[in-house]
Amino acid sequence: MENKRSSVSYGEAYRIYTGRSFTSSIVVISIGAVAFFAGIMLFMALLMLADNDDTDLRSKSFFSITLAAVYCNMLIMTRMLYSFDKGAPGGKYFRTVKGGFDTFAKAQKAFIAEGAVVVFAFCAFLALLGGLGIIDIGNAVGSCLMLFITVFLARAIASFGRLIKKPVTRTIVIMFLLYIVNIFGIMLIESSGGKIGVLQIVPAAAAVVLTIISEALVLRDYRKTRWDN
Amino acid sequence: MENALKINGVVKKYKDFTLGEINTVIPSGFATALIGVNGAGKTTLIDVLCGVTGKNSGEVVYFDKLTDSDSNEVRNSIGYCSSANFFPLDWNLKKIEASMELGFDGFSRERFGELCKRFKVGDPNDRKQKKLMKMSDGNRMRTYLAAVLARDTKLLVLDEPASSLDPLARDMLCDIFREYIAEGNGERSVLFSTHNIADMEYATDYAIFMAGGKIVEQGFVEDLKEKYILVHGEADKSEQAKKLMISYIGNSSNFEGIALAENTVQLSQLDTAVEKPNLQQLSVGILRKADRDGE
Repeated sequence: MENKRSSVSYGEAYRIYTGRSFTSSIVVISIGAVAFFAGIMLFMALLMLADNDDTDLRSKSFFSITLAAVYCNMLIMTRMLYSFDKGAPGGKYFRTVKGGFDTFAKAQKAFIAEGAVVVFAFCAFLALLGGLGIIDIGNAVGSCLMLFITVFLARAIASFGRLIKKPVTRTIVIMFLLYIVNIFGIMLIESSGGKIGVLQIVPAAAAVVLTIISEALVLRDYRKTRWDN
Repeated sequence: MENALKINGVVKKYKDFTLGEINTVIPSGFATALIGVNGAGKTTLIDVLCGVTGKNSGEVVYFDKLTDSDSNEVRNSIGYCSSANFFPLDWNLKKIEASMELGFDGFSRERFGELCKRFKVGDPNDRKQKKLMKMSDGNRMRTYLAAVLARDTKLLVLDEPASSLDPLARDMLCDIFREYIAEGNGERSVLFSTHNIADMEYATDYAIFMAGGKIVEQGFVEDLKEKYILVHGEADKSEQAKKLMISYIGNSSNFEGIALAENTVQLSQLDTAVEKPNLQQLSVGILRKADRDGE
């Protein structure tokens, strides 16, 4: 009897699609993300020093959160926009590996987990900076938690954009949706002062539900329109 | 095992191109060349056979028993490799090794290391690794070949493997095909598409000629060389000879072309010289005729 079931795990699917282990990847990407952001903050601080700007970085809470959100979006977007189409490098190879589409679907879910861990690590770092008073974020833990939720809600909503066939339109719509949701999220963080409450719970639940729905729809559509064709 | 593949009525439709209906076999224990001009449907057929592209209708029987290209048994038995960007360009030998080890059951790290050294593309165990994007086209193709040959497969399916290789590497590729088939005791086969017919003749046992999405001729190369003849003659007899030939090229002093061997006697009466064609001459003749018939 022909064995149609994939025997690969989520971690193995990730490794097949990236050539790296899931654990080492998230450690390296998280460190890289934190280090890169720390570099940006340092650069900003140096610029202000050079300009004799008396409003130091600590007083720029809104600016810090906005910069962090933009940065998180960049981390998320890289994976969302990566093409596994047949014409893209590796596209044909991935269609021949054990498990076929099942392995692809598992790798996609592993990418979401990768993004969640990396953005969480980054938000934790931001909360630490806020807690230590290096940057001024009102209610650092709550604000950073809200930022994490916002980024994932934005990702879940923008993921519906992956149903669009035309690559250019798809990219524009995904970027637009990501930033629109993030702008609302940042305004919410600022207006609530980062207090933990319904403001975090409702978007968090929405992010989880929408992620499940969008991923199921996107994978089903991808198989029908681009994997088998 | 009689056939590596049996293709029954396979059709794949695109907006502007239709492959098929394709009915043929890829005999087991031999190297089969898919020969055709650009856009003939070689890559589409290979993609369908390897499960890279779905088909609209028809059936493919793998190794006389399997019919589902999506099954892991078929995936593990076929060593497929495309000519361009088979792996992501930011990958290096180490990443290829890590991915393929999990992606296929019969991948051997040791064999991959040996093949990388043999093909002079580096060592997967080196600390410093060159990314594929920084390799030349030829070295990239050698890397793909090392990766696919490091697997324990029954059928190699290679799309234009010789296109980016230098003459020496093409010669090595022919040897590799021979080694691969010999190691399989008749159970291993090779299917490859090519434009470099002359360079790959030594490696070709069976040839399938494609034009306009269809198979126009097929058979063992030795049989085809018996079926067709290469004809040379003086220009003054060209008009009479032309009627007996399937392809013809001539100038003011002489002509040359391919004809069916059954016309040898009639052509000899026109003072023509007849000889056995090589695969290159045969291909040009058959594809010219297909091109003319298609117009």
